[in-house]
Amino acid sequence: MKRSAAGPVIGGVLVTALLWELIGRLHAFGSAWAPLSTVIAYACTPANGALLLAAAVRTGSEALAGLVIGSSAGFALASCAVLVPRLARGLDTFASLLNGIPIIAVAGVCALTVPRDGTPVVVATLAAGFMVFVASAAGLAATLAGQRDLFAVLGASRGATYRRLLVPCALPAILDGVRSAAPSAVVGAIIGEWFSAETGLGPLLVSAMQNYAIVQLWAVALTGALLSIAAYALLGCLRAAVGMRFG
Amino acid sequence: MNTARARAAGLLDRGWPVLLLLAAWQVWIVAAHVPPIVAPAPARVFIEVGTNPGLYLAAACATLGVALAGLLIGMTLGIAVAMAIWTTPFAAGALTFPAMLAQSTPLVALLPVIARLLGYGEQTVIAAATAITFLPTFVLVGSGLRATPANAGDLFDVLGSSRLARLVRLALPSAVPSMLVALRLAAANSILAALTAEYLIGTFGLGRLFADAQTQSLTPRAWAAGLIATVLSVAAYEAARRLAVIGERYTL
Amino acid sequence: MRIAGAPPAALIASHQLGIAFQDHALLPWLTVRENIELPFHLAQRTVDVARVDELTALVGLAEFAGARPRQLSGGMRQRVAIARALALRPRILLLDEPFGALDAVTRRQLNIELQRIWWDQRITTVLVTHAIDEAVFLADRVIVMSARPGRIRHDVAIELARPREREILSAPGFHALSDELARALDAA
Repeated sequence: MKRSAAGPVIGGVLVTALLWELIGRLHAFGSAWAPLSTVIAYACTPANGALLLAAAVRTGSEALAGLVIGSSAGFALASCAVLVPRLARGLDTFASLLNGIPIIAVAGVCALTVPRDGTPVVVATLAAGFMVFVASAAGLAATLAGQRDLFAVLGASRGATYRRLLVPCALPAILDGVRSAAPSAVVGAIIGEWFSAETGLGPLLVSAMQNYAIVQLWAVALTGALLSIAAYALLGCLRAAVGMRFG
Repeated sequence: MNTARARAAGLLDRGWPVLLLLAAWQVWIVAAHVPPIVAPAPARVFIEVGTNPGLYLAAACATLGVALAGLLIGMTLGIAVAMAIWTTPFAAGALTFPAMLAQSTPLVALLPVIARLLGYGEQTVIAAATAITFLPTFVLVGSGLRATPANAGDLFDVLGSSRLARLVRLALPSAVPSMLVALRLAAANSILAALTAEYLIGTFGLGRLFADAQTQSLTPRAWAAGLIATVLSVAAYEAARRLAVIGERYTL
Repeated sequence: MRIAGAPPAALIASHQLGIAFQDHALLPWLTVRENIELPFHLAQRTVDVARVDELTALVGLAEFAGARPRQLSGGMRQRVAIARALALRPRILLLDEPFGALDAVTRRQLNIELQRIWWDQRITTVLVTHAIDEAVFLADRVIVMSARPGRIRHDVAIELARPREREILSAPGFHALSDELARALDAA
């Protein structure tokens, strides 16, 4: 399976790169499509490379902080719903509400109420939190009936059942949620930066847009994508490790 | 009388966070002496909406319209491409990298690029909503087409089914539950994407209203726009969730 | 392996093979009737409504023709699967442990049902099963195979009278045959 699957994937990478280059060179979609080679050349110059890297690190750390806080909060909320069933439906509504608030609105409010550097982190927290809440709620609910019955028969308290059964069983699903939330955290951080920060990928995007710096625009977009992919891949490794222990 | 009471109790059971948030909001404004330019009191926001119903209705309709257009196009494309991939397994492997790249590029980073390519108009907002809908639909429907009942594939083999019959009679119906999940995600996401695009591009809608209110420091208006947007996306998500009942017909 | 001089693929191409699995493989979004009609659609033939009605009645599910699989019990689902397998009057019927997922009581009932259905349709049937009594009750010929690698160990002819009623299950001849096969299985 592995051997035959690698061929098409590599083929896909090559075709993508080729198309990107050709469409840019031939101006097939107008002059706003920068060829891949131009974008890479731009990113590889020392000055630009350092700029992109610094911005990526800045946004990445904000996203990471948001992911950690948001995941903890999402998991805590989901745990509340499990430990205090009376609150479950309400908490579900609460989470949906928080998720429905447009991120730009959140960022706008944060810009006025939260200290400068905090806005991207707060926005990233909100963006990531809902996804982890949903994944945690689903994971905690997915224990098999037989295992729950076992714990009931053994006279386990609700807390003990939660600690020893629900959480270990739910861990793979929760980490799946955290992994899926990583790109959202990056998006949240970028939008947060639009409103309040001076460094990071967000402001770079805005300035590139305002200065019609096409190649810079593409370079920043690509950097953002690579950041998300890196986060997703790292968390994927963590998820695999946990899966082997608990799955 | 009892059903009315039961219904009220049910609503309270679900909706207490809304009341709690409103109360907390009011308390925060008063207790922290928050100046009106930073954040308005709840009553102020409701008055704002009440005195300009036409404006907010028009803006909401505009945003909903483009979000819906993007959702329909995105889901249709997602389903079509998933079906095309199903028939050629080689393409499935080849598309993994481009799909991952597209999924990882934050929409907010793509928006300026799309705007440069398509122009600063409504078409870009629709494109944004399409983009955020297409990929999850494609991924979900792609796996849904493969989630056929156990042994059903063997059954179709033994009954000498054509490839087309296999797609139409087996794979597509099996994919209906995942289409509904994709719809649920798309319902909320397309509205949020439309808002972000309107904010950036400036086409008329709730996002534009929010942006203008921000620059003019009309705080109640900004909060009103944000609030209505929230109500819309939650309502859209709930509506899509109700549709999930359809999916029951397609699962054992 | 050849069937009537032709490879199995030819049988499939001419839609002459009927099959029922252990997990019924019914399509959840189709009614009982539509599930039984499926082979006609896949063979690109017009649906023989009379045949479908006949089969629905034959497996005892006439009142449930409009029901969906999720509304049926495990035994009922298997009956639909068997009816579907018979839809095109196949030359050969393959039953792959069709009752393996059912409880003993339902299984016994369905064995008797299957005998009655088979007696009505008389199609050459290959039944795969782990239940000795099921094999003896239903078959004219039982082949005992060893575990990996699957090799034929014994070939026993069952000469009990047809049609087989449930009384046969208590007859001494039945038990003797079952014992013989059990010994053969142990030795395999």
